[in-house]
Amino acid sequence: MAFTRNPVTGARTTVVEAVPGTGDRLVSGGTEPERWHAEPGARPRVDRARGVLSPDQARAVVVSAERVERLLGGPQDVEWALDTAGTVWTLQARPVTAHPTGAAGPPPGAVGAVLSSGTPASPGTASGRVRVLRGVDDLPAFRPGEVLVCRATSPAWTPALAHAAAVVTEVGGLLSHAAIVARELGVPAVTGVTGARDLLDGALVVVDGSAGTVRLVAA
Amino acid sequence: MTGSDQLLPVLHALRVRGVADAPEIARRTGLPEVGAEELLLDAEASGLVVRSPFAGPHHWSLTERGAAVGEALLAAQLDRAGARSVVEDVLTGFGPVNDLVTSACTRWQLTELGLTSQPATLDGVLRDLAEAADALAAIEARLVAHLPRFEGYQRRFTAALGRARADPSWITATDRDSAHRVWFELHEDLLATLGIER
Repeated sequence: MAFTRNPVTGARTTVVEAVPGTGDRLVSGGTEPERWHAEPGARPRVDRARGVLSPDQARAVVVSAERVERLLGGPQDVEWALDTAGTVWTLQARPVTAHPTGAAGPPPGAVGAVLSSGTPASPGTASGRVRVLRGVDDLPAFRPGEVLVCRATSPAWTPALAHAAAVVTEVGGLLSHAAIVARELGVPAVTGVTGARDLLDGALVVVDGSAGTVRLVAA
Repeated sequence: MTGSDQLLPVLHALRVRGVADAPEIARRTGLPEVGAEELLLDAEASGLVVRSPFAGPHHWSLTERGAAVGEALLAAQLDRAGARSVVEDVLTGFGPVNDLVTSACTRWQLTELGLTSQPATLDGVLRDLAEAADALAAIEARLVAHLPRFEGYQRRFTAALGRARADPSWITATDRDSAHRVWFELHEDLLATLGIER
């Protein structure tokens, strides 16, 4: 992972965490990663060495993460991989979402607290009733104007997406196929929402595809 | 060909297209249109396909049972061709190229939506997609050597890129064989072939 803001202080420092192999051990928190940090324009310095990255490799990751931040216009958490040829691949990026908890109460009006949040994947805000779809056999239960909630989408879901008020998926990020299709259709989308399928069918929610949130509308 | 030999192409065409009518299934499988229609009606009677609720009245999609039967037939075909390790290897190499395609599509969409402070250029996006088309040529050649049904993705992807220069909606449109739609189909094809959940 690379964070283009210090995750603790919010300072304009890029922090890189690295583990050998694939990143699932890092994401699951099951291991102590190597850690580097880089002030803007300076070479990265190692905070906790684990023999994973060379200084040049750490620098390549920092440069790549800062490009993602410029491209997307804000602080980012970037998931990356370095292949054996030394190429840095950006796997996924999401806006830095950590805010001090409790700082913002519910906004005025009927919109309640954030039920869940994920990657803002397709812009716009829409409200509708939740419809959790666990597979294609659930598609006939979906009604146009509902908020379509699922694990991930395949090509069979595109016609239903076109009729959804908004889309919420459990997996994927800004680059997932569901995100690309939702942007194409002009449907707000939030992706990578852990436990999205636990939302209750029929609940009235507001999906903000620009902020990456799902909020309950008070009855 | 027996009925079951023809069932797989029909189920698989629906799997990768998502939703399709009989003429489209006929084009994709090379079956005559009336034959495709009959196979679809038989498959409907067996609970493998349904009329798709949100598309046109003559459009079909797979049921979960249809997807499972299709995957079992694909797995048998894969093992007959002795190609499982080749397809697994292709899917491993597919990840970085998939990232190249989805990030190019995303950059272009965010630029068109005015959501980025660093707008992409059409040239830059098409350059990345052309690089992916080159990689796709090698991927398709490896697959087709064992499984001829993978033929055509590179041709359709390249055709979309050719049209995108004059009309950039061919990059990500959902209502035609845009670059992203063809790519999404190929991704679905690889996952279905190996029976992997998305």
